[in-house]
Amino acid sequence: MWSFGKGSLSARFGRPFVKLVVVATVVFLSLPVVLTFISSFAAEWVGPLPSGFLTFGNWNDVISGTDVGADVSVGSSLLYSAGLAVGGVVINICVGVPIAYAVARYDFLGRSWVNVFAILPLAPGIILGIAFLRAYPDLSTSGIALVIGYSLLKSPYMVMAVQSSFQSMELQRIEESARSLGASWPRTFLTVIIPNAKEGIIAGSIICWTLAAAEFNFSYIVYSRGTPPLSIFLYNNITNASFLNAAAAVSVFFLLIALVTIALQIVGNQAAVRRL
Amino acid sequence: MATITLDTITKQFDSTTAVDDVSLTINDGEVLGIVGPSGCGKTTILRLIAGFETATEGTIRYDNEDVTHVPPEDRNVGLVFQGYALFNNMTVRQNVTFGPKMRGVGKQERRERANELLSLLDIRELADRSPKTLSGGQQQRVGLARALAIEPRLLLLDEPMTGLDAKLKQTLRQELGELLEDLGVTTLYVTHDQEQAMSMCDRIAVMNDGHIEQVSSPADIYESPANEFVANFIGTSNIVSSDALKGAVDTNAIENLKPGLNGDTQFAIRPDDFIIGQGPLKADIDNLFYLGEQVQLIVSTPDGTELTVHCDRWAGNDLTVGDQITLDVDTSRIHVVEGKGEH
Repeated sequence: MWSFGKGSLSARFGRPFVKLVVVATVVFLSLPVVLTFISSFAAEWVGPLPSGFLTFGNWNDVISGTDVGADVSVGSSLLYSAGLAVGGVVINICVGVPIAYAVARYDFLGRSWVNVFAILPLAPGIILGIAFLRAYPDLSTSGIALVIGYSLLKSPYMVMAVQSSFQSMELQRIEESARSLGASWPRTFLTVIIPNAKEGIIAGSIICWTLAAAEFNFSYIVYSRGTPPLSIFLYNNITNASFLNAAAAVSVFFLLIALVTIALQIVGNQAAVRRL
Repeated sequence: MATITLDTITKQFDSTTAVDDVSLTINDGEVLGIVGPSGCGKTTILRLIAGFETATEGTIRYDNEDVTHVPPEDRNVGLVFQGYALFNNMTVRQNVTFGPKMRGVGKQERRERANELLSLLDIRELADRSPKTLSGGQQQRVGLARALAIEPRLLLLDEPMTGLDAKLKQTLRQELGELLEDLGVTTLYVTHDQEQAMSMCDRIAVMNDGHIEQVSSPADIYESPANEFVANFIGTSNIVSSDALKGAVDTNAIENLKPGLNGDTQFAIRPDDFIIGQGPLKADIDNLFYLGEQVQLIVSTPDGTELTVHCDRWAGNDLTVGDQITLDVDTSRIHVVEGKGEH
């Protein structure tokens, strides 16, 4: 008979086994990132491991924009993509937060359908890109198309993050308390409801921004000329340059994502500390 | 402060009638409790008075002002919920000053008012803390201070002590009772906890299935329940027919007190109104529960009627299951109940 006592198999090996699985998973997932980052400082990669450390040549190529990879500097591409992603996040906040609030707060006809449409990805990026080209041929080559596309593709993440925040608070009672104290509904929403859901909004913004900045499929279909979004910039570097140049471009992207995520978390934490 | 009048109020949600033709007055400065089982409509009445629901029929008046269709933010009602619903994005002081700020009170005055209330409730030192870091009892005080800061015409308390431990509940009950008495603010206290309602309220309305069964003082409701529902809901009652008591008590004496009784008449007898060890009624002890201050006996009479009897713990210590005891009951303590209270 199997037993779950102190000397049983699960007691002896369960915890070490789980630890092993977690460590193996983390190593498997992070190894390519770490290796890519390290190799971006190598002069060459012949054989199993990169060699010729330490050089900033690859980073220099990416940052200054030589004609080795992409023909523009990473700076302009980064700024452009960051701006597009911010635009997408702003739309996601303006549309996603009210939808999440309505679904969490009210019981109305079609509520479950609204919820399903809000949290299901609308379409794969490539399909949405083709649809945009067909429906709005004039608009589709502009930055506006990219912003709208990013917001449509990433909106489920915002809705889910904010909805989770709303569901974890006593939404109806908080709202009713504020109104009984004399606040109108708009004031209650802006000064009580939204600040109380701030963690969810920040989390949703981080996810939406990160994914929008890295969105390739939609960008590849819709982008035609001018400064390329970051994902296209990376693609150009990866396809037209050596692997080490591509590694530097990918590292720039990872670094940027990490910095933005940390910055947004610091903003959130500082606000929480101020409250205390 | 104000006198609150509900005049033939009905509230329907689709085909469900939550409140059915209820008329009720909360007098100026009075603490009125509404008790009843879950789903009886007590919270709906509170929400109607607060303005979060609109009555299907009837009118609600604050003094002589018809507020039936006035939005909640214009009613000047202080509200304390079960979970307190504090604003976690603000400090305790900001929570308390929120209401006065919404009503245009100046910064200096609202700060003074907040300090005064926080001192009154003995939580002044928590003013700059986040509500998230407070215990349940402290949060309850903040919720109360926030509701009182707008100097409300009416204070609505919706199960404000649910979720607190028994000892804290007892302390807060006493403090809250004293505070409400000192402030003299008209208060509606909604609870399913009859003990809280009995100890804190000037009058109690017992609700069942959207109707008010009885409105009276706590003592009156306990001693003279209007019907079987009230007798069973408030405290414990033995509901027995007059036939079951024949030979055991002098039903003629009850007849003298309440003429017009017949065989179908139901009597309510409280478990602590039995006298053990004397009297004509024999009963066997089927079960025995030690409750601390009292011992609860479940006994059955020779005709199979089951009764609940309470005795002091020192008397109950000598009893065991299977013992036969004799019971008596003072006829003046027997109440005639008129129907089950069904509508």
